[in-house]
Amino acid sequence: MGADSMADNGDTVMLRDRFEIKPGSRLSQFDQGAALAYAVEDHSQAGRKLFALICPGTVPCRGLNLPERRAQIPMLWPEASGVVDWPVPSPGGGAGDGGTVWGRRPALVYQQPTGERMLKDPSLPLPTLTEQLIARNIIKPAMAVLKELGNLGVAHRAIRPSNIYYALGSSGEIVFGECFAVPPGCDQPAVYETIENGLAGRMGRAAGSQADDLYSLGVLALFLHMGNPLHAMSDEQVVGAKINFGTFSALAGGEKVSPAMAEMLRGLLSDKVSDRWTLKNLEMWMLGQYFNPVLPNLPQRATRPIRLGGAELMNRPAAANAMAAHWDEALTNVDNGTVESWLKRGFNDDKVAEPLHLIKGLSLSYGPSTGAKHRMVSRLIQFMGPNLPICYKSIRVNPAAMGTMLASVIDQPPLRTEFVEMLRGRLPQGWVDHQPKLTSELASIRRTLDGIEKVIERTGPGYSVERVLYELDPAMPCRSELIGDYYVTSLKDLLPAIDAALPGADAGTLPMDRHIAAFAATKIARPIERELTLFGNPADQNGYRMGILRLIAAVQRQHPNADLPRLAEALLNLLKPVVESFHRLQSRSDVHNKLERFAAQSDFVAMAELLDEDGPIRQGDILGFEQAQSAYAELEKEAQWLEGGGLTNPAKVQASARVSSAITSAFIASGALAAFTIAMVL
Amino acid sequence: MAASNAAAKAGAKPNAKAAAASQAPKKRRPWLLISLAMPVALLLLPSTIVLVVAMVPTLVARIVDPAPGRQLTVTVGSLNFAGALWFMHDLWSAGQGFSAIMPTLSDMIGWLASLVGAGMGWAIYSLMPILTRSIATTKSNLRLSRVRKSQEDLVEQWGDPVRSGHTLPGSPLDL
Repeated sequence: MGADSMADNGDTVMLRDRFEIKPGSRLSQFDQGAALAYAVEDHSQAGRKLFALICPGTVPCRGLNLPERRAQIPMLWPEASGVVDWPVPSPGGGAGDGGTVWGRRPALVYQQPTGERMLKDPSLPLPTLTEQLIARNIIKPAMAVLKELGNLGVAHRAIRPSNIYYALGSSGEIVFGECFAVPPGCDQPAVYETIENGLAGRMGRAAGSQADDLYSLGVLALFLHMGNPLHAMSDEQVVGAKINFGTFSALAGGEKVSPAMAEMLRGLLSDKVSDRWTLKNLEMWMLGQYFNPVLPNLPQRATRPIRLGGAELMNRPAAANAMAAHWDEALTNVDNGTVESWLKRGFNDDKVAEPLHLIKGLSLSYGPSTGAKHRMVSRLIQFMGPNLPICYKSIRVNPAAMGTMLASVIDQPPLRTEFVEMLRGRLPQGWVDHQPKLTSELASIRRTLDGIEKVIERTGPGYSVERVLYELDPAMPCRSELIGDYYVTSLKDLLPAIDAALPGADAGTLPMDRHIAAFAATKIARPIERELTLFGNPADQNGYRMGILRLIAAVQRQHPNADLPRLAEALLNLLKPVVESFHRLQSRSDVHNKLERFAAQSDFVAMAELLDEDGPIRQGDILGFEQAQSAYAELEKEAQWLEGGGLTNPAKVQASARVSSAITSAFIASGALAAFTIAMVL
Repeated sequence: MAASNAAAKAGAKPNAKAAAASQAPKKRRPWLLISLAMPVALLLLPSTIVLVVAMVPTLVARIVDPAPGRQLTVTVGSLNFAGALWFMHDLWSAGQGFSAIMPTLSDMIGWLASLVGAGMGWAIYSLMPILTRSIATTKSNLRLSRVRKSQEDLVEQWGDPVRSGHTLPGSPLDL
């Protein structure tokens, strides 16, 4: 791996042998959320002002495999991307110099924007632009960006003032910031997100589509024209206002705008995706075409309010939003029947009893018995606000973003437990069932959930929550404690990463853990049930060690790699007891020699076959040992018989002596008779 | 009554027949030998008389030999018979007539040969257990050492666990 080359070059990090990224030279003004910016030197074109974003290593980076851009667009676009060696904090705090070790991180190199950020600090007010300036400086470049992104099949999901730069100075034309370094929408303020994503946690927002970008663009245009009247509100209040009044009305706050502007903003800020303006509508609007105004799609009002979180709520989605924000109060209100009563009487809907009964039954049927009330609240939120994300205790996640959400909570035991409870309670399946229309995206989510259902209930390595993490998002980097710093997203890189990580790991570190097993199980084409079963039973030490070897061999079989000396050495040490378990002493020596030979070639497949429990060597050893044991027992029996006087028994000796004496006498007499006969004849 | 006796006899018949079948050859053999030997003994009556007299020690051995197989009788008898051949030589040299019986039995050397033969039989019978025990002990020791050697070979080849059940080394992880 690159860790070696890093050591040779000091603090130099090279990307594609051209861009030198300087870990010691921060450019914090270009930071993008969790992706930190560093200075870059272009060795091919000196003097260019570049910066690199070093992306977090715990979630997939969508900037690594971008398709080729077909047109120049007013947006920061990666000049180069790739995974580079990078100093990361040492897990122990002191293994490397200054508490850092060399790992690997995705890096994206950009040209530095020449203008300033539109919003340097969230506390500062936004500039106010006229209708013409918005159309020329905001909508026009946005259309070019969204058109190109649409052609490439990706959504920007980071359209907000703090991610927009001026092309020059501090006003005028704009350049959109980058959007590939962090998960989609994760740094967006809730107000720039649709109702579907606004309530979700930062890492629980869906990758979305161009419709989400157009919505964000609408919010941006409205704020730049009229200011942000919701800046003092919490996320829950913002989402609540959007639910109650529709996004346009909530954000416009009754301010007057020109009919043309209102037409565009209403179209972009439609809460119903099917009614929302598309890029084509926007293009036509720019050309001066008029459209019928999009009317807000408001939820049905109740005849009487329900009080939750200190507010009186008049519709189901708003009540669901408040329940999600005030979980404990929601628990009480669901438990004492207040919510059920409000749903029946507030809407004069006696038929609601049937779905409520079903929700109760499902809550009791799936998941651990202790969390039934929480699941009931969660399922009620899904029923009342199907466009809200899945809400369960502290988890707020859009089902399309469960992978990144799990990645963000997997190292936090309380949240991880909540996430697992949510999966075991089949709440995501419930969310899908509550959606009014089954889209292809929902069908894909449903398929993924069906796959997860089979593994979440199994606790052994290769299954459970670790497996779910990699099943949810195939691009998820492996989170193993051993190789988590190496940003391993493909099976091909797994063994080289383990090989590179072993020298820096504590003595006795195994080259396999639950994360590596789950990561491999997700990506290995052939079934590896047996390997996982062996690895999941440490009580059988030899089987456990063979499980590790067989898993590694399975990876190598799929991606041959013969240059893994440190992994080979670790496996040799690991397999010592397995070799010692051969009964025949000569076999141990022979097997050990062969293993050393295979290890020198990093041939783990041959090592696994050599030590295979069902292989000819092992079976021959077992059979031979059984025969040897049996032979030893027979010999022991004979020895004891001999020691017990088997041959020297007095009665036996006496009998033998009598027979011997009779034979001897008869023999002598025969001789005498023969002599007598000869004498008589002669 | 007669009928019941007949039935009882009929019922007892198969067992009796089976027992008779198993014992018949044993009982018949001495009579067969006697019936075969009798004409010869009568034909060679002087020799028979001399031999019977000379084989008196064997008769004594037969009387004191209670063991099945009559090895003492065979041992003493064989050598007694060998010694008695001196008398046979004398008798047959004298024409094997009834008149030669007494002169033959009066030969001291003949008696010496016959009795020494019988004595040697007794001696062999008495000393043979000592010799046999010695041979058996030597043989037992040799065989035991061969067995122990084979066991050592197995242990050398398969290790100590071969002595008992399948006890495999299971150690904690010690990288």
